[in-house]
Amino acid sequence: MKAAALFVMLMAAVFAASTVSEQNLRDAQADPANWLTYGKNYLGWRSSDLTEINTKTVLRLTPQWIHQTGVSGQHETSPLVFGGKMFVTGPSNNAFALDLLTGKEIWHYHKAPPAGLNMCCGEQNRGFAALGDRLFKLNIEATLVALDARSGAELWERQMADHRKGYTATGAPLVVKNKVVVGMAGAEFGTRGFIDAYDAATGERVWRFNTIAAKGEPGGETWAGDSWEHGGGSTWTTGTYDPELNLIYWGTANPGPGLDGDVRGGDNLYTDSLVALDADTGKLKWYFQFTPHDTHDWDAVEDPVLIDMMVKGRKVKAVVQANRNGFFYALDRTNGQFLHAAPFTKITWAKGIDAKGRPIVVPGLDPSEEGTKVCPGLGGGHHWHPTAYSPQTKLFYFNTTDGCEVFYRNKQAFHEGQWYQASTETSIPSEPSAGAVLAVDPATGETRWRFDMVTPASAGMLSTAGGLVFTGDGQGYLLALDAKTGKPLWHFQTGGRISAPPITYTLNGKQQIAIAAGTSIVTFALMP
Amino acid sequence: MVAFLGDLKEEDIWRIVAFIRSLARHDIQDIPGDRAAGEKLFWGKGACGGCHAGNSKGGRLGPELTRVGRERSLAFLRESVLTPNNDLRPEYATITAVLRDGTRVVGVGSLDNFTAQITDAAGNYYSFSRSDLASCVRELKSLMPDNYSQLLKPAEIDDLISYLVSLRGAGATR
Repeated sequence: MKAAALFVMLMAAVFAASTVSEQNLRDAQADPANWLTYGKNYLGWRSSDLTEINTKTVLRLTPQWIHQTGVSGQHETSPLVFGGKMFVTGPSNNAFALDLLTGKEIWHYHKAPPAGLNMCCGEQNRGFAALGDRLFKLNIEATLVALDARSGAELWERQMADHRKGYTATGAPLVVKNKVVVGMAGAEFGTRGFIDAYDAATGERVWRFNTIAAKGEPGGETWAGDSWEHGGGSTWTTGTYDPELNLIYWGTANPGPGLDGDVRGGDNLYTDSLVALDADTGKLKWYFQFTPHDTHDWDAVEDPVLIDMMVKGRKVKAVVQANRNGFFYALDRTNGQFLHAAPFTKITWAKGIDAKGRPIVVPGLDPSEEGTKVCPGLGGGHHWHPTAYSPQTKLFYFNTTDGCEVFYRNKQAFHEGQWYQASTETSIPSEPSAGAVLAVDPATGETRWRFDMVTPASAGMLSTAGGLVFTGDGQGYLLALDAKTGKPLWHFQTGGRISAPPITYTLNGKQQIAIAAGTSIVTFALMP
Repeated sequence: MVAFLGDLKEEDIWRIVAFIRSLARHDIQDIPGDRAAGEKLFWGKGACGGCHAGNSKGGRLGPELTRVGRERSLAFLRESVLTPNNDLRPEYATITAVLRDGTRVVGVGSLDNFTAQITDAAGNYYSFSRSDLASCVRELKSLMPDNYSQLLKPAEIDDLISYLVSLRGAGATR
């Protein structure tokens, strides 16, 4: 009788490990063996409590297996791990379940994208979300699909918006309660951005928040004339969630057209903003706009990371972001109140940030027909690449691109479904951009250390309780830095550009590291 | 490329065609200088062939020049000879590695966060772990001498440019 009861308990444990409950997601930080949601936990820390791989052992880190996806294009996926499997997405509507021990393919999902798709930046995808025995991913033609995690079979697919009008989708969804929360891409085509929530069981849309305020709505006065109709404001990365406040935090992208601000006078809400939404209704609780009336394509889609910290002697529930405009920001996440900001790269477009958080803009640096040099460049000081926070060091880690570009502008009429940026930018050959990994004290904005890199930033971050920060570079290196000092402790040449964040988990009790590199997934563990 | 059919009027299409035609090269009709004398300079006094290849002959340190007369304007060629640092492609930047014993290795190649691969002016290839080096820097400065205006007379410069313009690929005629 006892043996039978033990068998039932063991089977229950195995079954539980093969599915992801809402409670599992809330407790994700306390489950270092798995990686259940995009940012490791709802707060977006990308930090693991695992310590087997640490500053003393990391030199014994060696490759375990390499899975070649066979899919061309940039792999930006942040894998999920549970139930003895790794779930990864690839470009062009591909996805895989991999055996955690060998990397062997368990199943492969593929749906051919529609022909003639107009898009900004490639057919990449950044990962799955999970709930129960289901996986959720966005397809490039702006659909959300639910897959059976056991087989990869499609359970339902919902069209979020019309891809023929320029709407696409690339981000990893975020599961909150029984909803799948997603963003879209396509601001470069004069679309109107939104954040959607869908019922995880049925795929029915529960709510939508439009990131462009229409005429007559609050914020609609920040758009001249009817310019809001093509206002952009994509939401192409993944937000974070505070279960206690029941608020979802999500960054929004540039206004459209990106480089000609004359046709859209005003602040252009809610572009280049962080919005806090009620998770049940999608209603706006507060917003903070980092770059009002942006003319340099400085999205605010970088990770909004939730940290409780002491600021000037006061404990604050904060949200922090390394923004594309070159400033690090800290806000009170209960109400959106500005706390502080600090530049982390060379900035020429603003003299600073005022007491309310609004940039003090240097006049005359809008894009022009003859070209205007501005720092940072269009890719910004920090782009979408996932960031990390370590509760051990209390430092916030992110990569930077340090450089300038020349911005051009012309007049461009809007044509539905066509590129609508009203010009472009060029790099400056005599001033090649470089990169760095930064460790910033989020409570002050002070940079504690930097690890300079030869090339601009390309990959995401992972911090571990082993005192390490893992990241990659555009030349194919996966590297481990000392989280306290930035000293490089280990590196491995993967053979392919790294454009994704590393993750960590355990297999048979041993800590593993995984990363998408080139068109492969590579895992690492310590040699005995 | 976006399809413009239906978005542009007929007259606008022809305006674009006219503009593109205006970009075609019209600058090589009356080049001063002697092509044959320029070729001698290239392989002799100018020592250009030590670093540049043309028609499968010459060095590999600098850009390959077999089709340079077809691909580059007269003004660009002249600027490249006289002021090679004005428009330097990053792959031709100078990398200087200093070994721990003080030995300097200077050349072009590849530099990443952990290693450096350098080919020096003699064609020697090196690959280093940067942790083994005392220092390693890359400067946006060409290894090519920037004093050809002193090394060569103005007429010789014209001869050299004339030769470069004549490099239009195997079997090509001007």
